[in-house]
Amino acid sequence: MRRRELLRSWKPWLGVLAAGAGWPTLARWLHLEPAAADETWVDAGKLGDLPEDGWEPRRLAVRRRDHWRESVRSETVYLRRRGEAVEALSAVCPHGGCLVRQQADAFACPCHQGRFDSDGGRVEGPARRGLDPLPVRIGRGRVQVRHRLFRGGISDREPVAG
Amino acid sequence: MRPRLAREAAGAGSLVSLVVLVLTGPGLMAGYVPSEAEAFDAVLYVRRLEGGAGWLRSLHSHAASGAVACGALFLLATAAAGRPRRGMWWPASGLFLVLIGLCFTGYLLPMDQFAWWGNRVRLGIVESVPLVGGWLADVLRGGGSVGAATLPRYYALHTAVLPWLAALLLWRLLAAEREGLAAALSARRPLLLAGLALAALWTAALIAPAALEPRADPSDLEYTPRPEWYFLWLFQIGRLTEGQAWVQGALVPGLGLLALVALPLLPPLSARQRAAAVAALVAGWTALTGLALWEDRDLPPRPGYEEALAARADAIYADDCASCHGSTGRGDGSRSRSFGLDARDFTSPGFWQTADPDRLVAAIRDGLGEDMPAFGRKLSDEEIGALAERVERFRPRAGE
Repeated sequence: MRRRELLRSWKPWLGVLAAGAGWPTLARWLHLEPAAADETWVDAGKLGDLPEDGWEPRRLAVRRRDHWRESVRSETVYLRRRGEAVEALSAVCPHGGCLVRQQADAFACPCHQGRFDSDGGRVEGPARRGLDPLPVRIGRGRVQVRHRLFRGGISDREPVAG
Repeated sequence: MRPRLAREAAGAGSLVSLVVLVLTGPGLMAGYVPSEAEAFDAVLYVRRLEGGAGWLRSLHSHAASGAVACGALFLLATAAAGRPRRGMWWPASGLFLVLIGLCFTGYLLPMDQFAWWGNRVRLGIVESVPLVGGWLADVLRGGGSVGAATLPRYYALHTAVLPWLAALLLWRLLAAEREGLAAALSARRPLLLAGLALAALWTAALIAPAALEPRADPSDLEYTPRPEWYFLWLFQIGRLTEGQAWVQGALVPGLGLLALVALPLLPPLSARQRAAAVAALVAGWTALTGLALWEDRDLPPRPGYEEALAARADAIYADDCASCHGSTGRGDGSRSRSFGLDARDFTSPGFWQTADPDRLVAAIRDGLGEDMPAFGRKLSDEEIGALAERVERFRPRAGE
């Protein structure tokens, strides 16, 4: 098609119109708020209630600032106590985001057969890293966890907002 | 079945499903808020208005299944009949892909367990697509995780962007099929098939309402997410290729897309080759879907919202109420007997002379007298309401 014919056709003009009127919408869609690192500690119950050794699931009420809304979301973590030290693992599978379950001494994901050992390390399945450890601290006999979510499907631990 | 009849039936089924989707959509929109905090309650409210049946939603949901099934059959029947013409094949394939996008976005909207977990896994698969996956998932979610910004985006895609795209493609498709369509509309059989399709959708909506599962709970360890029936084959490929997430996430969808685009450009196949290809596709789909269902045969059935809430109320009653009120509601639990507490007898007609649902809810929430503790801090309003309904079940029927 020669240039003059192209200019006479209505199709390129439709494209110009769409670009001229549509870019604010596109900009709105592509605007993503940067991940605000949530620095708050969430209560995970009494230290004394945790059995010695072995992982225990705990539900946390995680308060988060989400765009225009303050919300509380229930999230599950696994806690393991060894004496006065407590470790925490996020229950969110680092592949697709299902919650992993305890199976014998280890963890298994019910969605795509991911398996993890008793320390959360990757054994087999589609996940590209082990379960995500979370920071824990003990204050006045209570366990506190800093909950966060990490991007799934990749081998790095990249925290995401919320 | 004869190929021409199959293609006509699938075409009529797709068109009728699309019309039903377009017409029931605004009805659903009128009772919906795209907000993470309110969506489920809005859906539940409409469901209660409709006497728990939710037939408008059922019609929409079954029409979506019908459109996917008939759309796939239509493409298959078209390809089986010979090398398709580009002018009709590309818009038809595009329309089918837009339809899948509409399902993807529509499934999250009710924000029940099925919606939440299905979406989470699907986005996880999107994220595992090399290079663009993470960015694409972020744009869909409006951030790194599903939150306040997500439902408005899905809603905009589901009710504006994708429907317009579908309308454009449908217009191209119908323009390319003008002659065939005119012939079809003047004959009696296609109209009869369309009427049958509409009747089938109504019947399905009335006798098998679309499920609404419990409120989304991101911390539920018991829930086992599974995809819709028409995606089980891809799910099973994911299971069979464990360790290679990109096969399920990128390779298979990519090959499917390539096949759809390239089919009208490939050298024409003989009738025998076409029949073999169609048979292989149908057999593969059936085998993978069957295998997925077979491997999941031990999964417990997923309860609906009302069922799960009633089961929860039974459990709460057994844990917190039966010790005083007794497991049969007679007020003769072990605690009330050994401590001489005055636990109400829910089976006595006298109790029901003064009790009504509001007073039951208030008594459970705030406690009553010295012996009945308040449960308002321990239980949610939803649980207290269900518990009041549980207690109602002890009420003696008139004449007993």
